[in-house]
Amino acid sequence: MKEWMKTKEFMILMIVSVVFLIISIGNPTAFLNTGNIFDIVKSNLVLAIAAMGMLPIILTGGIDVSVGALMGVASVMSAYFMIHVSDNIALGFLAGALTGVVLGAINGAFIAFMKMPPIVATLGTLSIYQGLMNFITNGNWITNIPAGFVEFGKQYLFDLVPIQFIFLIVMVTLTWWLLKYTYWGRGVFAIGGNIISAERIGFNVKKLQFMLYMFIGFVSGIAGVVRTSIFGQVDPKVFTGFELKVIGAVVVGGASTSGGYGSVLGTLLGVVLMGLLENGMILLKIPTFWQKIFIGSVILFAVTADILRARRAEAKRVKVDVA
Amino acid sequence: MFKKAISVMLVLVMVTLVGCSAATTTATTAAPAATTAAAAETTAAPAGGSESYTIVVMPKLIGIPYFNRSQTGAEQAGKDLGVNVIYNGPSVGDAAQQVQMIEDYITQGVDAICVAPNDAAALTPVLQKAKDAGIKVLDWDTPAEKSVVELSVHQIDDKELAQVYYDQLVEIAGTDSGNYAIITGGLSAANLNTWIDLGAEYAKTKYPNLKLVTDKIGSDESADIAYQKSLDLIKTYPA
Amino acid sequence: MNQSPKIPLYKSIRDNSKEATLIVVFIVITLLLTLLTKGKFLSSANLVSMAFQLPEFGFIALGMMVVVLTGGINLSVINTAAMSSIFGALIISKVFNQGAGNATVALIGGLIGITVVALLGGALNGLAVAHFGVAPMLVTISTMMIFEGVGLLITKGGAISGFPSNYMWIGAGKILGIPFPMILYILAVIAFVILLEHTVWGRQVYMVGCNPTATYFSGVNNRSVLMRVYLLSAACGIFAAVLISSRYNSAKVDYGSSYLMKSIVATVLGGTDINGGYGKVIGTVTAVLIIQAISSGLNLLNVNRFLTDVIMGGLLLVVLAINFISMVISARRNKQQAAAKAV
Repeated sequence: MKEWMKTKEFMILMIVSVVFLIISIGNPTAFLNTGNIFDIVKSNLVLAIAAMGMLPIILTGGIDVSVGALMGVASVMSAYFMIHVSDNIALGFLAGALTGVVLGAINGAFIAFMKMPPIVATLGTLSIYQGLMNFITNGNWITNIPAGFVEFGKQYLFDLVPIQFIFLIVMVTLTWWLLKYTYWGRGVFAIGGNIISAERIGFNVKKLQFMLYMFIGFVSGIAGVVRTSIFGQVDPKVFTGFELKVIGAVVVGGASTSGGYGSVLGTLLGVVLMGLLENGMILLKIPTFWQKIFIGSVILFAVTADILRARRAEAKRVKVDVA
Repeated sequence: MFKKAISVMLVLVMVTLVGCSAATTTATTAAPAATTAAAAETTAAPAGGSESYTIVVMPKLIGIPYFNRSQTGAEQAGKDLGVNVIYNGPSVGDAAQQVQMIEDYITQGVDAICVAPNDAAALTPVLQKAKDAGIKVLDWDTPAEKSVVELSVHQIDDKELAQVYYDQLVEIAGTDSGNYAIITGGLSAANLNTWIDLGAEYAKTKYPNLKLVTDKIGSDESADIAYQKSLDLIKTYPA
Repeated sequence: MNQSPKIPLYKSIRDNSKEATLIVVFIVITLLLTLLTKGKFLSSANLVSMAFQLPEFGFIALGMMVVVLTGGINLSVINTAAMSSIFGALIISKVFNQGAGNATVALIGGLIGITVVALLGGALNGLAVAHFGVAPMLVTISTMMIFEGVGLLITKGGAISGFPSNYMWIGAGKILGIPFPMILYILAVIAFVILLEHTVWGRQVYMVGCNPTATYFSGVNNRSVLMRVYLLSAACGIFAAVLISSRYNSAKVDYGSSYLMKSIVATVLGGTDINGGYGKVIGTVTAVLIIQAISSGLNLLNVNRFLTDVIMGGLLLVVLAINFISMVISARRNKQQAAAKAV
């Protein structure tokens, strides 16, 4: 138990708890009820799903800043599919996921096979995907989504839990299982630790990376369509700038930017923290113009505290000099 | 009481999103947007001109349903009047990008520029340059600095619009005393801020019992965020 | 030995192949645009226009580049510029408009204000990165938000304007027909080249980016090097802030928001290694020129701005692909040479 208390995840959990407490004390009636909690869940579902896709990428020391575009294009494609081809809900999701996979594969090809630095390649593809999508849709919202799909999105389980929550559970479980129990997952951590060593051990680094970017494409595609189901229409531009939020959530959740360290739990906590902060700002009646300063400061504080914790742990570690 | 609060929030949310991106209310604002652009052009192209004029119609940014309507109007007007219409604008609502595009159009040597400024003050120097180069300058949708434009086309009177907002608000809520909140498309959007400020002044005199519970909240022009913030507002300030 | 005089030139081009590729790309693009715009691209009006527009972006790109050289990234560079320009504008408008004061005093006060605030911002970044060792991306994501928040707090979303004409001259004036911003930029570029490529400190910056541990053990004070890098980045923000607020006659939170991603593109396009340790100032400058050329040229051709975005992204990927291919070719050639030598 003490071991776990020293981890990053524990520290984030502490910070989340503190924020939770502050908001509870500040505005208990509004905050502490299941309705509100599930509202927070619903508002941050899409972020959480996308973060699941981003986590493996960051674990390998990479990054994908085209996530926003991936989600946007996937949601547009799936909408076109459902409107013009078939209004089957499952196929709609599939269309979105497939779009994501294809775009992700293009990213993966640049990164794994042409050895382009991830941030650069995805920056380039971000401009291309987003620019093309904006050009073709001209930013027009797609509002004639088949009624069946819209109705599906409005379902609640037990009158409380939005149906999209199922997607979240599935994605979280999938990511967790992949990272912990598959060869692929081991490979992700290995690459993040030391890419050359991973190659020497025998991991097919190129193939792994390629599949990784297809994975985030898949997850982003699903996330995009989930958002469509929540709102019942598609706004091609709504995901602009979303990548920063996703990366922020994953990284605040303890994943190291150079790779090798991170966890599903941590990422979820990161999303929770972001969600609580947004919700809490209004609930605590913090004046609008102070809100951004607040959120930025909390994040800065969280990451600094984390580094200090790591330092202290490092200093306490017993070092043996092999003479 | 809770129901009233919801309706209050909803009205404000819908109405402030009109400023830039709501699809649901596009229908009602489509007509004014299209006619605004057309009107701007009719004045730019002097009647009876035999050469084809090149007129630039520039929105705040392209790729938004509201401004897409303006594009339809502008291009239709171009066909009707027999002038060459260039409808283009920055890809984000960035005044810097807009200024650069206008500078490039000055270099191109167009005959008139009708612009919806992202920021009046920022565009003043470049519009003055245009004027000095003999290009006719007009503004539409959002006013620019008066001294540089020949004509200002406005789809609606700001003051009246702000008053209508508040009148409708009171009508739907069914009472003129109570709490309300404002969610705006963007904290730094000049025209939205104008409407909000004018409306607040109006409300002070006409509806003194309306209480604004907190400063305006920005939604970064995202319906998702606006929805989320509305929920939070309703919970924080019940009734 | 059969050494023709061509070989030394060829070798120096090969050593700087990335930058050479860029210059070639720039020339090709310029020619293409001139053809497509039937010469308008090279008209004096356009050249002057570009010379006015380029510097503000150029400074942001330089500010991004120095940080990337150390293996980091500075996502707060735009907001540092915005925040400081807002403070400067506040001072200028208060002194000039309300204090019924001297225009020169207002000008100097504004400039000092911008400098102080920007350096404070840079110090915050530097403190977190250099002294606490937090990852640059994390630090600058949060400072980006904080600076934007400070700007919002002061302006409440609006713009501060009303500057005296001597301030506006900075952004709009010309000396001998060359726009003043361009002159500032050229001087800054020269200073950067000297600082980064010809001083000990500059060398240390590259070293830190290449291998911080080895650098530390060679006796270099990593902390102070990094702190100065972030201050330098903020200093670039100062120039950008002055130019932007002067050219647009006002200061607002979201001016130049599109410059952030573009500056990363410029840095990488310019051949700077995103992991640090390599990068030439001339490369970044050429990249800035290319981006500006494309932007202005496509505007002259009335191309939809979205397509311009696509083209810039595509260009980035194409140049990187070219670099990759040439790397593969030269690796193969080295292999052949090594094999030939072994025979």
